[in-house]
Amino acid sequence: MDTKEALRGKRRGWIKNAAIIFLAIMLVLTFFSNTIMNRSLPEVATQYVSSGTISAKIRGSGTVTANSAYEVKVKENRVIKTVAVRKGDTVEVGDVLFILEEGESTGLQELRDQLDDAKYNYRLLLLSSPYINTSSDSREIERLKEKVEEAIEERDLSYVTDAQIASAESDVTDKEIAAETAANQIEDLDEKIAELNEQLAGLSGGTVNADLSAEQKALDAAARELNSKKTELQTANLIYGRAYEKLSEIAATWEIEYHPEYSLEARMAGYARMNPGAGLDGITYSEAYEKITDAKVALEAAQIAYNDAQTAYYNRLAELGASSMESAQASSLKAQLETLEEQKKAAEKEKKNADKALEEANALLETLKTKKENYKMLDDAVKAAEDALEDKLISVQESQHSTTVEKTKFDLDVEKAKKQIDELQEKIDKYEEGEGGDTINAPVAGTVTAINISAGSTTDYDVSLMTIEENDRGYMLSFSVTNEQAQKVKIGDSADVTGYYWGSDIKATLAAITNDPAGAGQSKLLNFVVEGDVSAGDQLNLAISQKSANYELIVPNSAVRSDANGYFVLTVQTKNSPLGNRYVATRVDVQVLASDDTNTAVSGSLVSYDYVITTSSAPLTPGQLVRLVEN
Amino acid sequence: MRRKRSTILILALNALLIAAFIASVAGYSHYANLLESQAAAKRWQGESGVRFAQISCFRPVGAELSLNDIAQFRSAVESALVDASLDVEGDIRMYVDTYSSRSKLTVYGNKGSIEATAYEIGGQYFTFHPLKLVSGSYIAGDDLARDRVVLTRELAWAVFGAVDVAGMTVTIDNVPYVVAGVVDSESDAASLAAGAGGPSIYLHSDRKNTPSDAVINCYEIILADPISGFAKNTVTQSMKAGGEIVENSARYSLGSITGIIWHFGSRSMNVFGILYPYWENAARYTEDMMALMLVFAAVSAVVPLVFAGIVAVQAVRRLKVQGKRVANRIRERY
Repeated sequence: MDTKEALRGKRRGWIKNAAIIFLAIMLVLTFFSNTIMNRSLPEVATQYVSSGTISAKIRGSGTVTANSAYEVKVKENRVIKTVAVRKGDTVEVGDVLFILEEGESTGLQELRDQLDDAKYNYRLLLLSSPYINTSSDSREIERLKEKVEEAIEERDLSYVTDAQIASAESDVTDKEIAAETAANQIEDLDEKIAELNEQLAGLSGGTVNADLSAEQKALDAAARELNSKKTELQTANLIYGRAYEKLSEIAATWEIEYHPEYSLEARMAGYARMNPGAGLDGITYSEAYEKITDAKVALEAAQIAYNDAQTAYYNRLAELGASSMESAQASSLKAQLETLEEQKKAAEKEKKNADKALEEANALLETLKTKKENYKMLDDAVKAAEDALEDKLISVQESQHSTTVEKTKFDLDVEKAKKQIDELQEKIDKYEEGEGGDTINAPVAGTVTAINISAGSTTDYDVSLMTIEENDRGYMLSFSVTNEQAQKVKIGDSADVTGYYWGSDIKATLAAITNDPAGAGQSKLLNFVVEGDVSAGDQLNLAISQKSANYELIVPNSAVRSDANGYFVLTVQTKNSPLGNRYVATRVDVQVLASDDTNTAVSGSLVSYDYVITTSSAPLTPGQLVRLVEN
Repeated sequence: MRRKRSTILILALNALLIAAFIASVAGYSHYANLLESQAAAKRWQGESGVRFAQISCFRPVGAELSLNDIAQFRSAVESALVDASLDVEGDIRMYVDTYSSRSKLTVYGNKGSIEATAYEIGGQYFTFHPLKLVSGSYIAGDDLARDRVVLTRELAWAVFGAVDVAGMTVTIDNVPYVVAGVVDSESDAASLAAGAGGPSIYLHSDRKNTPSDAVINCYEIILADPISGFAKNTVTQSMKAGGEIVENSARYSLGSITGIIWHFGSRSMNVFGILYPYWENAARYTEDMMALMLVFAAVSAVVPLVFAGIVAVQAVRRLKVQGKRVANRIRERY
């Protein structure tokens, strides 16, 4: 029973403890519920609704270009040899832009050929005139026709093209150069020859005796003498050596008991003196001494003789060597001289040929020039003959008053042919007017912005080869904007230059709004006139401000949201509760009136100084509790 | 005694499996709500009362869309809405869309330069991808100024050394752009695994006013969906052929996730030649994780369910026996 009571008591205690802990937890949660709940709410940043201005900016960047662009054109067909400038280069009036290949415009030549054909056809037409119906007319006309043909034949013999003359001139120039080169070569050779002659004169000259036999013989004799003396000396030395050995052996003990102080030499000399007959191999010691001495003397004399002969020989040899060197030099110089003389002869021959060729080329050129001059005269003669024929034909035509269909047709054909001739002549005149030299020069000063032709290509008649923007005519800048942006600006609006540090005094004014060819109808080009410290090619950033307008309700861009129901902002509404303030995100539908980079003007159920939510730590739904960011 | 111990073990095992089941369901729910980019239809719907679906179209390399294609598509969608008696001109906006493409650009600021991932966007991109604003504001397709850009925090820091840089200028290819705002990249595990984050910049795809330049490889739309499948069918029929079309708003349904388990293996194959943007890769990641959670939940629920069944059968038998006894007693008494 006691055990049951104790168990019941334990259970009661456990329940009591649990209740206390539960109540304590509930109390803590109650006190900190707001804080705990706040931690779980998304955090929002807010800003006031304000009033002010909205000023949208339209920005763009573009490259400054010169206001006026000059198209460089030529009225001839010529081949471009070199393009002398590059895109972006600044050129002055008269600067060379293109260098052309030599020769006449191919178009002009073609036109001339066409004119000739047309004239020929015209004459043929006249000759087939239906008006000619009398024999006297026919004869006269035939005669005139022959005259014309003769004149043409004569004239054609003198036909010379400009290309032929240019070729002859070029040929003359080449020949002149060849003649000059040959002359220069001769001059050079002359100089070299003179120099060699001078060098030859500087040498000792004359032939040198190269005979050394006498000296050589003397030298050989002295050498033989020297050798024989050397042999004798050697023989004497050999005899003396053996005698000396024997004598020294004998004299070593001679008179030693009497004169022990004597040296070996003294003993040997004493013994030889005292025993004059003593000796070896039939020769006494004294004789051996004498023989040696004689041999030495003879050897010394032979040596001196040999030395003298040798000195004489070497001196002679040295003398002979120097002479032979000079002689070799002289021979070489002479050989060179001969070669040069031969070269000179060849050069002279060449010069003669070149002079002759030059003379011929000059003659040819002269002939061609004369022919060309004559051609004009002969051409006039042809024209005169043609005119005479034409006059005759026309007079025949005018003398007849009767008309037929055939004649009328002839008249019309004549008129047509004349018109064709006139047109061709007009074209040729125009070409000739446009035909310049071998270069195309800049007609205006400015910057090269486009080069439409390359070296090796042929120019077309009156087609742009190059565009030069004239720098002194003002500058333009244009950039592309959307159609909506273009609607916000108007001509005359000024734009601010932004991010340009090199010059502050730049003014840009909107001059035109044009269609953007690259925009496929979606965009427009704003074209500005730029004034001030700019140059073509500068990159400018422009900002053009829309006229600012005042608005009552302005919110930051980030506060404006949208969903299926349209634009809205979330405002923060405060609700008081016993445990503190609660903040609720509340949706307010708005209409967007205008916006710029940072703010949007809206209309709706907002008042100034409402808090609008600009950003939040989590996506929000209207009615959601939020907490304000703690600054 | 032994029986009592085995009972305790069985109960403990069941408790453990139930806990695993609850954790799997929680994980499933977590991944279903992880990505804001997949819940745009719900946000757009708001309190309008009209049902919306979010559809994404991913284009393969070489078959990207142009702005002209987008314009034609919009026109076709509006016709389809009119055919379905939906008021396109009314107060409720029946669709909103965005398109984007990715590339790499070098961005220069006053403190340095960096190579950033560039998202060239059009339409209401940030309605679909509500990245957290750190400063400034988003950009949108109907902006007047086309030269405004949004930077991520990492990019702003790299080129300016600051994040409150709205109104400052960055330069790309020698062209200046005004910073509209700075955002934080997604920092959830799925997005990070998919390559979100890092220096990125968002620019208007038509900033150069040259429509032919825009190459679009991702198109997203929130479209009224009065009956299930209407929006996806409309997009499928109106969109230029090619690529893959995904209904984002239905991808987390139980049926879709079960389908992933069912098509396990072939699911990983990409036969369209598409380079998905990071948000789609992140969504595919969450789908896979949800499929895994679903498998865990199903496996962990088997034993407790069998156990509950056995207990229920035993209880019924016991009740039957007791009922018989009570009936016998009543019969004996009366």
